Amino acid sequence: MTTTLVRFNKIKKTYGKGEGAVNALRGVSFEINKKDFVAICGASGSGKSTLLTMIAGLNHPTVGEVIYDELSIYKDLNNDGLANFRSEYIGFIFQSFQLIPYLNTIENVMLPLAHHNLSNKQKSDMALDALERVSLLDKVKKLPGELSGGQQQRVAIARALVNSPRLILADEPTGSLDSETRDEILDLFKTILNDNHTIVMVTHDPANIKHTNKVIYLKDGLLEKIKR
Amino acid sequence: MKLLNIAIFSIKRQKSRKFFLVVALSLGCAIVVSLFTFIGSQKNKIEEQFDEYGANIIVMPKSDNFLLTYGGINVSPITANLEMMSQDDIKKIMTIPENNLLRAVSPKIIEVITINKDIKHNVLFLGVFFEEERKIKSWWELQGRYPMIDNEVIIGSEVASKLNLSIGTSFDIKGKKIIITGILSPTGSQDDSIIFGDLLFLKKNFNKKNNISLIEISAHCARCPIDEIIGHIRDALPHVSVKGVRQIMKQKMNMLEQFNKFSLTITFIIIVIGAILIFNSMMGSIAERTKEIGIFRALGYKKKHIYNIILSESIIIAIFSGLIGIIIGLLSSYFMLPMLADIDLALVKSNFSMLVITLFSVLILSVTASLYPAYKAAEIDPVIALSSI
Repeated sequence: MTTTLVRFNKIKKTYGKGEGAVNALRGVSFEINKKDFVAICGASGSGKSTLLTMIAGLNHPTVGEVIYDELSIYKDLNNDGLANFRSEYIGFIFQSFQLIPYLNTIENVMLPLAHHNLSNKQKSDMALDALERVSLLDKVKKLPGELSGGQQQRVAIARALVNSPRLILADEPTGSLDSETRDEILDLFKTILNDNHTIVMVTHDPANIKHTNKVIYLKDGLLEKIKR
Repeated sequence: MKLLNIAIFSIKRQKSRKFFLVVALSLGCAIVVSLFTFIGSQKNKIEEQFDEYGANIIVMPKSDNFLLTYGGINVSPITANLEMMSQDDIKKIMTIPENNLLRAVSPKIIEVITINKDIKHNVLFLGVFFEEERKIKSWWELQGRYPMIDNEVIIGSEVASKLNLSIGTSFDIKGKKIIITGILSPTGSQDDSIIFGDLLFLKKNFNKKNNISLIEISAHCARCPIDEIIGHIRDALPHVSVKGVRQIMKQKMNMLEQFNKFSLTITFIIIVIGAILIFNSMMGSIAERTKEIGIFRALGYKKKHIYNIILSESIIIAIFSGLIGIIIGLLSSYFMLPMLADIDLALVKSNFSMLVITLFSVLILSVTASLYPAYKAAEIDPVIALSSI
């Protein structure tokens, strides 16, 4: 049985046309295995975010294909199919948390389920379960503005976990946190890994890298090296 | 939580922006409701006032002979010995299904008499039942009194001045002494040059037997089906001619029709302004929420879900604004119209279908004006939206 979850196959991505065209990725190939905790590192403009949005099914490659568990997502799925793919298989954690400020904790966590054909009770139970995993059951009615940075990021993690995705994508998840809170979040990530998730994290913080089992270094749109 | 909840939460978050939109739409809606309630109330008022305009149905003998006119209405040659109507015809009229709506049924015998006063004058002599006639001619103002016995008459103001007749004076008709008990104040109508006497007196002395020249009918027309009444009288009296009098009503209704058109123009302007306001508000809202929409897309929302959220917002705003506008419009109509437009409160009635149409119009307007903003929201590239995070 294959252990590969995501395979990048000679991916190129060019933004714009003509003289103004920017080659964000210039032929990148690598694999992410199930239960991997992968860090994607590189300088600003190296193509990290492009790569992350491409795994998420948000950003069509100009050349090449992204294969998720034997499914070439950009070739086999249309826009609605890609949305379903994100909804079912991907959990997204953004830099600066990106909680919806007018929704409370549990509503933010339920956000990925709002368009699902589930009862409110089912959605609420799933959200409470996710909040329990990040130890925030006592904050369910709080608005994001009433939470600390670490708590907000845990809400964001709960939101990413609520639909039990196999792959969690995190874009600089500790970028807005102090070192103590950062460690808490990374410990939480390790706990999540034990629950059969795979995590891909874009980071430039060397302190984060030590928690991962694979580091993909990008430079000028090219794969510089992979460190295990 | 459902997509509708997100729309509701989003509206709550943008309280001030949505508040002004709701206020503007509500006011527009209130103006439209007030305008059309005013028009409806004016129609009610005109119909109520219709009684004051006298008879609205004329029943007369059928004739293809030459015509005379009375009160601006063509009538058959009344002096000719044609087949006239009988008092039985009045009884038949009272058998129609709408007989309870017949306020007055006033039969008339019309005769031309000659009064010898220095020179000979031909004058129309109308035999009427004064009780019925006065119900139809509610505008009559009389100096003196109405006749009490059969040889007493009242005369029009022109008859009085031209023949130099006054109250208490008399003249002879066919050897009978006729006493004038009252003179009508000028009416501006043909009544000014007519002598009104007792119908039974005329029948007896002019050998009219049971023949009626003309029947004037006043039907309550606030809500009465005048065409149906005319139809039923025609059915009851197939040998006579039945005509509806609509000139005055038509003039008033034409004025209202003009006002109706004016109101429609105002409504159109309100619709255009409303559409611009909604469009502008929704576009502004979406510009502010680019990042949020990007997050929704990253969390697996399809384009149709984004459409759903934006259009739900516009539907909620439309229903809310429409209901508030209708309430304000009705309240202002009920409180302001009696004061400003001199309309009796009982006549201020709103049309339920008009209110429903108004609500649906606001709804359609809001959704239509939000379609493009919703399209723009759905087309937001999540990669670009997320790159701003």
